[in-house]
Amino acid sequence: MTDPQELVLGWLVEGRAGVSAEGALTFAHRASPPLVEKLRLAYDWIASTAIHTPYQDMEFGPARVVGGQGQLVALHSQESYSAFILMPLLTLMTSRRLLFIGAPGRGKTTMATVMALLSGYTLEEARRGIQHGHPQLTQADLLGSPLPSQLIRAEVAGDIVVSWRRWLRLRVKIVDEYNRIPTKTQSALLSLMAEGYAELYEQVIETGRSAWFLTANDEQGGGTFPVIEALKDRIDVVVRCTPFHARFLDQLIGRIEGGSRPEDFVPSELVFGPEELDRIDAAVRAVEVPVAVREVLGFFVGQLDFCRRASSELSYMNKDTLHLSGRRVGHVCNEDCPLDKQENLCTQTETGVSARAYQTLIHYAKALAYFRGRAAVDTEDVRQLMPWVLHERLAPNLHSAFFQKTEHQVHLTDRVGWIRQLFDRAVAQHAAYQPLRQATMALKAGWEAGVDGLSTVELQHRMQAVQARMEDVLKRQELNGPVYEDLVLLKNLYYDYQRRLSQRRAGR
Amino acid sequence: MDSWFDGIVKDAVREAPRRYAQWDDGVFQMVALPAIARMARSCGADGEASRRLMAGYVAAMVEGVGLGYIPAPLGEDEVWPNLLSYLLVRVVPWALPRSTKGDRLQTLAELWNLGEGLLAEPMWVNRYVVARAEGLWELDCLADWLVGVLEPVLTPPPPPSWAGPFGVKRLDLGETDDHFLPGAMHLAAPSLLCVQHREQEDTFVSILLRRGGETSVIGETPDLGRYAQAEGAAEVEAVAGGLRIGAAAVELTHVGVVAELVVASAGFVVVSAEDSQLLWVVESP
Repeated sequence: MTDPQELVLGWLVEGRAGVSAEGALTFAHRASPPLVEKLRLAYDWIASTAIHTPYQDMEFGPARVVGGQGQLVALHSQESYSAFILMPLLTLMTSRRLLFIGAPGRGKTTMATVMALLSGYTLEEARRGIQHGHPQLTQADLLGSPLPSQLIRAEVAGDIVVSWRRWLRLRVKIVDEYNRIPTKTQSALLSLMAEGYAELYEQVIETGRSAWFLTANDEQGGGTFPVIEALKDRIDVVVRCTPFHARFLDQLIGRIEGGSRPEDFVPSELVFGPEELDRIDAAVRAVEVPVAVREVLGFFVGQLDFCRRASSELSYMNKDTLHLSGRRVGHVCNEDCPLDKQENLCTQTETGVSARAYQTLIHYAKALAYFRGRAAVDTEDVRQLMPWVLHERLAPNLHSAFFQKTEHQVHLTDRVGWIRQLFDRAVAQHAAYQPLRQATMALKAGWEAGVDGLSTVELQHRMQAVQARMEDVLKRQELNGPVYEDLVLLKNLYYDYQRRLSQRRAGR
Repeated sequence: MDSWFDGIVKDAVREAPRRYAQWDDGVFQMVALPAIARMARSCGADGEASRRLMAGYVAAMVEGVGLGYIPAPLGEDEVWPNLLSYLLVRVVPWALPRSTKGDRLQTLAELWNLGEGLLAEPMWVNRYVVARAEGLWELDCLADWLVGVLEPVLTPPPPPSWAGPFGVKRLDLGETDDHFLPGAMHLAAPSLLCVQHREQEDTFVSILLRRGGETSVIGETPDLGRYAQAEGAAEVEAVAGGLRIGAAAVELTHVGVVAELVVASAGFVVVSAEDSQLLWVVESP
């Protein structure tokens, strides 16, 4: 309870409004709202003023499904967002790398420019900082070069002073039509994106923490030059721009009449300073990823790499084994593999998920949880982000019997829907599989609780228990993705105990 | 719009979209501008003092719209969401030019600071204050008025004894709304009760619980939120013709069948009856 007298007096004394010496009503600056609130205000402003899209494709909460036979539409009960607007904000928060893809004129460069304005750059600075991909773009165009006088005067390479391009130090970096950059110049871009530095004439420039926004007009990343795989791999998320909807025709007409463009400005109260972006970064990293979420994620990821037909050796039963021998999943994923192609996820994908993609997903999930005002990531955050993180990293196995079914063929054209379907199946299978895994999880927990206090006899018993569990699993359960993951885990535990026993015997 | 303040408005509004993320030109045109026009009429003829006052008022309206304090035009059954918007739009155009205080701009600044300060309090406090502001047309003692309004809800009452003798007061909610039939009841604050209309779930009447028989009906309000009080205020049981509070029997005349019962740890039991617009408020010493 509060003393109303004190409360009211405090408002009068500390209030923002006052009368200046010139006799004008003035307002002191308002304290900045909490950063997460400012981020949400930024989202709302972009969605209502700058980028008009009715497509809310990141939806939360239980869904009510409407529609009869044929087309169904889900109406979710909680907040919903447009990935085209939210993903760039999350990228700004995490200083990661986002690629916009889609047909020309759909707002890709505009959205990237708005991100630069939110970071405090003027429109002129943002525009000048955009690197436009074209076939004549050289490394010098991208990075900078020494003045000719420097080259003439220098006696050794180290004496040459490079005049670095200003954009290299921007907090938001924009590369427009990156797929029109020549392959040789792409290598320079790769170094910047991957390592955060560039080198010329034995001099190095660090780019600092920055969010990258790249655009490409063609979904396949094609264009004048093919994009090198290493560069593609450095892109964290891929977001599709959305088609225009006639609902916003009035706004377009208003822009023509007013001579305005959506990227002309962002309200000053939405601008984030470098220190605020750093605080957001720290707050995002502190968001918890609960064990339950990690388990589901691990369960999902573990199934995608698995290929029973790749080898008879447990350690090599993965898609990398196939690819390294020049084969594809479609060559072996056929009736000779006893696994049910409609149930097992491994059949659907040509590739697995790398550790880098895993990290990206977790980082963005933390950012999304933070944006939604939560202290911890939940499974739904992961589910919503997965299609954008894996969009270009997960390729379907086009020959899979799964896609032969009529109702599944749509997944070959809709990558987002396909990836969500994969994750939904994994979540359902994880729940169903849990009772079968309990003994394995108990053995894992036993190791993780620490074994230093155990006697040699107890260590041997534990090792035997792991072996017995492996025998039991192999005898009772079909070797599919989840079982494979558990067998690899158990084998790993077995060797952990064996190594510890060896150390004991050696007196270490 | 009269031309003498047209320039003031244009200058203030020009940069608004570049400053405020929540700037809504529609709200400014439909809500703020008519109030500004009323203010201009009240201020009277052009003159330096009038210009400064108008400039200050327009600046306050722009700040209010830009920060989202001033709502879109309200429907017939909607209430003002906060005191600041209510005063700026409804009261200031009439009351401020008539203020007897020397510096009316200072009055406006104080009004702003009180209203914006109040916005930092929980929603129920804002809604409660707005409900109490009907009939407030005098701005010179706004701070004192606000203290008086907040005191009963923010100052903790002395702990009740729950030992009797208990006072009983009857409130007729039909005086607020002819058709109001009390339904579910809940506390929005230790001394603030929200009574839902049994047949219109979005309609509430709020009651301020005060010792000494001073409990009163605030009037129709939105749902002011839920206050979770600690358990174990008192053992109360509905019995024929009244209540049993601990060992004491409390007669509630004409109560019939008890429909709803709320125990407030501030020392009150509020009872409604089936087919009655009355509330029985039992007060512990």
